[in-house]
Amino acid sequence: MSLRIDHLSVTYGTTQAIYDLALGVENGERFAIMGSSGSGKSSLLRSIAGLIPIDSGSITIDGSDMTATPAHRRPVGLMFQDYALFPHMTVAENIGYGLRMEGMPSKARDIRSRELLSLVGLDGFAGRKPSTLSGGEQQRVALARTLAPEPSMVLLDEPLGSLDISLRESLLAETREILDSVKATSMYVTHDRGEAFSFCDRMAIMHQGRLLRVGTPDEIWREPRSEFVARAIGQTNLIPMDFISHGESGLGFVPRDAIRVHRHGRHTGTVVASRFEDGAHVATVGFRNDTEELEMAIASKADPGSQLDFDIDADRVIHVSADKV
Amino acid sequence: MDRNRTLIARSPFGRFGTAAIVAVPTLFLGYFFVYPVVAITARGLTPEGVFTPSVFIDVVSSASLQGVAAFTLWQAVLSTLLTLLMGLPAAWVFARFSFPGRRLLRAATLVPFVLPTLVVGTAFLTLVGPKGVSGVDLTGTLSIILIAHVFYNYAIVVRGVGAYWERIDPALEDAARSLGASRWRTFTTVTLPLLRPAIASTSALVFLFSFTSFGVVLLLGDISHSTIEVEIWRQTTAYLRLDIASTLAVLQLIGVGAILAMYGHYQRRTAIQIAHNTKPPPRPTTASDRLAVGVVLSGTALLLGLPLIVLVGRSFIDPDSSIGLANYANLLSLPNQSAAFVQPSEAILNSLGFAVVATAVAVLIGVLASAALSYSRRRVARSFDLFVMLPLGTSAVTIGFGFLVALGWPIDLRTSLVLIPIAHALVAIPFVVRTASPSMGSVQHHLREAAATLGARPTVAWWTIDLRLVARSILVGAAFAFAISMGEFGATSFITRPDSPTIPIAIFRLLGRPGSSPFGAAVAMSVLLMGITGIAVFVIDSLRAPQAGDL
Repeated sequence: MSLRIDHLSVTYGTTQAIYDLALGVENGERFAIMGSSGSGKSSLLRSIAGLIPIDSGSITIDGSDMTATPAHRRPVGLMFQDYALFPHMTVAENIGYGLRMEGMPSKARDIRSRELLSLVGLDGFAGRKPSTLSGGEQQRVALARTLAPEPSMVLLDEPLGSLDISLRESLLAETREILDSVKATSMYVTHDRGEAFSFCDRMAIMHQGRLLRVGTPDEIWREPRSEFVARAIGQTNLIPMDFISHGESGLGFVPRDAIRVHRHGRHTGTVVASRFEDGAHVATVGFRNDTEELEMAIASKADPGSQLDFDIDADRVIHVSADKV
Repeated sequence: MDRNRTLIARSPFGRFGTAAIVAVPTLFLGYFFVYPVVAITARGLTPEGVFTPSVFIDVVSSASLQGVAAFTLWQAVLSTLLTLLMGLPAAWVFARFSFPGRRLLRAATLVPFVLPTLVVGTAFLTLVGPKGVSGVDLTGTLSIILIAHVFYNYAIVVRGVGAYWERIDPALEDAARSLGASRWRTFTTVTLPLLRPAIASTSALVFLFSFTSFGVVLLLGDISHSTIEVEIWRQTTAYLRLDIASTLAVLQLIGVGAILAMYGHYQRRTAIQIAHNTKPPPRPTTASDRLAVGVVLSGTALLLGLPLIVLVGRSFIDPDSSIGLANYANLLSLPNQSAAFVQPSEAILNSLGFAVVATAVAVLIGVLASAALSYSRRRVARSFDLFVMLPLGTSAVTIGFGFLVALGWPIDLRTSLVLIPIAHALVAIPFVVRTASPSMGSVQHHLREAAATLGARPTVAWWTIDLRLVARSILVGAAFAFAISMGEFGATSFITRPDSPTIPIAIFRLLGRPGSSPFGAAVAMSVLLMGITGIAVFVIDSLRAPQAGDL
């Protein structure tokens, strides 16, 4: 249950979706790929599933080369963003479809479908048609259907993308638990950093067909290595490092709570704007003739144009990159 | 993402399988449609084996044939305009308002569309014919032909434009209103431009059907009110002038080709999706809306209902003017007047038999053609689409006449009964393709991919997913094919054998016989045929998915 990708390149017409990509996912690992639309993350998933042709490179699953294997013979399950439930089949028939393709007799299929339904918390839904289900229920059926044939590798393509925000958090935790309970190796594609962080053991940030950074969320957070990765994972409070200690080059990320506003602060800035967010007032403060900006928590609403003094806890600043990328 | 670039979207049948799927309908249409049409054309241009322009010049310069051509065009233009004028308000009402019985009424508008020409003709004869109940005889006038054509094509406008209208998001109109446009200005600046492709494509279709109108004109018109279609029939059956008939058929084919090209052009434009509206329309609330809905609906009911009600009523008036079932009883035992006479009841059995075979053939070829359309490359698909749709545009008379001219080779099929269901299937195939291919094409690509990742081979995925999802549409196509076969008259009138008439042929023969018993029997038979097609319509409408497109 491991995946190895080497020198993978994929083109769509004249645009190259994936450039010479290498990646390994270990047995039982939950891996996330985070990227904006057009980054090539879906293409990566679809080439692993065998749904799109690749130009060069190889895809190896559990030690066997899958590059030339057609989609239906790869030990890979793919869960689609829109779930792609078969509308003419019942929930149980949908879940049993992969088993039917393996030639499992219908009685055994029924039993297995019911097991999976109870795994995803949908006991009693066997006879329903997909169109009668809510979005969250459809998501769970799709997950059960993907897991039914016990694939070596579970691929999830923005599996929460079409759900309400309020549902996403609980379903994400649930999906995680279910994948762990069947000891699945999985790859989760999303544009949402929160989902990626809370889902995965390890993750990659993808941009323009390349993996910019691969590691655990913690590693990547502490060492983003480029401005792009820093911004992608939510490190937006960026300032030049020499602002904090003279002579240092590149950019630094300043966590909001590493900034303390007080009358005798070492730095002075001008309030550009202020807003109320998550129970606190947040001011955008410009300094160095407004060429740089930082966001910081303030005690009460500040008027634009007013002066503000603050200190930065230098130990907590994360050195993002050697230079501005 | 470019959906073409995938390993799954292409044909599930591999290169050879797809080639076979394209080949079977192509060979069928090639032999039974293209070859006869080419043969007619060759015969029209070279009546004595060599190119002799004299017949062509004779036809083109003949004053009476010029008159026929002019009348054909003129009545088609008028019929189209009149149908639009009547149909557009109804399209608006059905698209924009909910009211009790909306679904039923909408389904009812389909009835005339699939009603056999002979039934429509007979219905108008019972209303405004020489023996009509109104006492006014309008046969042989332009107006009765126009009314019949409006009756016939009304559904095309109401359903074609209406379905498109319904999909236009009312928010667009609301936006125009909020920007200061009056209702009328909103209509002319927003709604009408959006509707234009739908109006244009349905107009082309109405024009086409009026241009090639046969049964209605044959029954209700006269020598000076005749279409090219009827003239081809007359030249063939009455004067045995196959050369003139061929030339006329060639001229008509050219006209039809031009109209079809226009239709195809606008049809592609309607395929462009604009704002998608799925909310059910509201009830009419203002007094003027209610009045408009009421007027339009009662007008529709009158136009579509009156001729059919009179037809049914007339069928219960016995030859001796009392009320009873004698006309229906006569279907079983009409006095035998000639050696070639066949009991109407036999015609009913013939028709049912032909219809079953024709439906099977049309569904087989139509589904293969739809698969070919869905799984071949876009450019191939476009020309193949036009090819498959050609029989729809080609007049039935051309098809029947073509069989007569061409199908002596390689084996002589011209006297074979098998030609009748094949001709019917030819007329029906475009309907099967039109109902099956959109749903086949719209099967979400993701579903096939999902099936693949779950271990289904492409052919298995097609069998378990695609075919199941389009099964309803195929049934709709089959119901259309059955109804068409039961009612087909134009092509059948050329290739029928005296001893094995179909229902429409039997009606036509009965109408041509003197006396009130045969007329009554013709009326009763028309009612039966109407009942059969009515059931087909009901089946079609109840099977049709709520959001599926109309023809």
